[in-house]
Amino acid sequence: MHSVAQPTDRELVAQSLRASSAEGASAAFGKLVMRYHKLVISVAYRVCGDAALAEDVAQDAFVRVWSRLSEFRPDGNFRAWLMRIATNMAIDAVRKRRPQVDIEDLALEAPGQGPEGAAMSSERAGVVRAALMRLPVESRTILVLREYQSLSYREIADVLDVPLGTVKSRLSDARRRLKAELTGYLSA
Amino acid sequence: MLHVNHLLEAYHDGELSPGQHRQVESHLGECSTCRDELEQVRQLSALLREVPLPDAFSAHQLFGAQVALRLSRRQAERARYPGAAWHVVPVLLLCGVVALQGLFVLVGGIVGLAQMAGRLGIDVGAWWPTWNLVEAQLGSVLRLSPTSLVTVLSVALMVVLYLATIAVFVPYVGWVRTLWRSTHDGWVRKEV
Repeated sequence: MHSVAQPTDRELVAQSLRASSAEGASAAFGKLVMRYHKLVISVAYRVCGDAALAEDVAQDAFVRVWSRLSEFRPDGNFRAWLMRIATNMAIDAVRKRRPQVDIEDLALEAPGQGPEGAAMSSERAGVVRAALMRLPVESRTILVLREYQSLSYREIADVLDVPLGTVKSRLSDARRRLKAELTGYLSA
Repeated sequence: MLHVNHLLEAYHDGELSPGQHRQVESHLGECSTCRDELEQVRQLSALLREVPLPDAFSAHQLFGAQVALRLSRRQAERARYPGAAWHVVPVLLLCGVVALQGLFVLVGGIVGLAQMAGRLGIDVGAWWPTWNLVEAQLGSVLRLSPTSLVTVLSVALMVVLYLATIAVFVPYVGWVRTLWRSTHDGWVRKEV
């Protein structure tokens, strides 16, 4: 059996930049979109707490990446660069969004299920999501990158362009707040 | 017994140095308080991972198509605007205003100083022969003192220049704002 080697991110970026036709560039960039769109949507949603806004942010993050593709260093980490752009845009979206999403509504929302199908686990997920959304957006973003994307402290600092100490203190602060809010769900 | 609470989160996240890691492991073996605290960090992490993503997101083909649509809109928006060379026009105009304003201030200052010196009994013409010529010509031909002439010309020209600058800058700022929004704030939700 032959396995076709997938082009690396850098190769796709290079193809997008060097393609002789618009179609060729779009095809190469389209592969990057397909490769990372779930990751970007996931991060944007965890930061924004709003599915429609998250998808909007994710799409525009790719548009911004496309328009700045020539700024990407050939030896750079595309995933980290994309994450940086997407998280910053998600944070901006949260700050600019008016009116704010009703946090209490979030607690009741059970994504993908009707109210009658909301089991205990989704009710708990709703409470956790609401607690998450009550965190300051900066702390929430760091927690999301750590807990959902498993980035190291250094990677988070690079993605958000903040000092390592800030990552540690905000992460610790976020966990302290969540532990206080979700104490009923933590048995120890 | 020295607790290791301050290291527990980093321990959980795998961010400790090998030495610190050993220190925490050793301490956890004999301290139930720190074990409980670590357990809380682990439970919180597990709890957070229980929160699912909504299943309402677009399918990946649709998502790709929407990105492509936004890209084509962005390119169309950019194509509507002229190149960076158009920034030169208002910048040059502004430079002209600043240069002329500076020139008037300089000339007005020199003439004013010369007249003040004359009132104080200092013969400026003796120090600067051209002054006599300037004073005589401007005074006899235009029947205006140099100061008055400079003032009138300054005010008239500056009014014209300021009006011209405003006339150019108002549309220019609007154009730059639109251009900025199209390239930097494209994420603001647009109706499809």
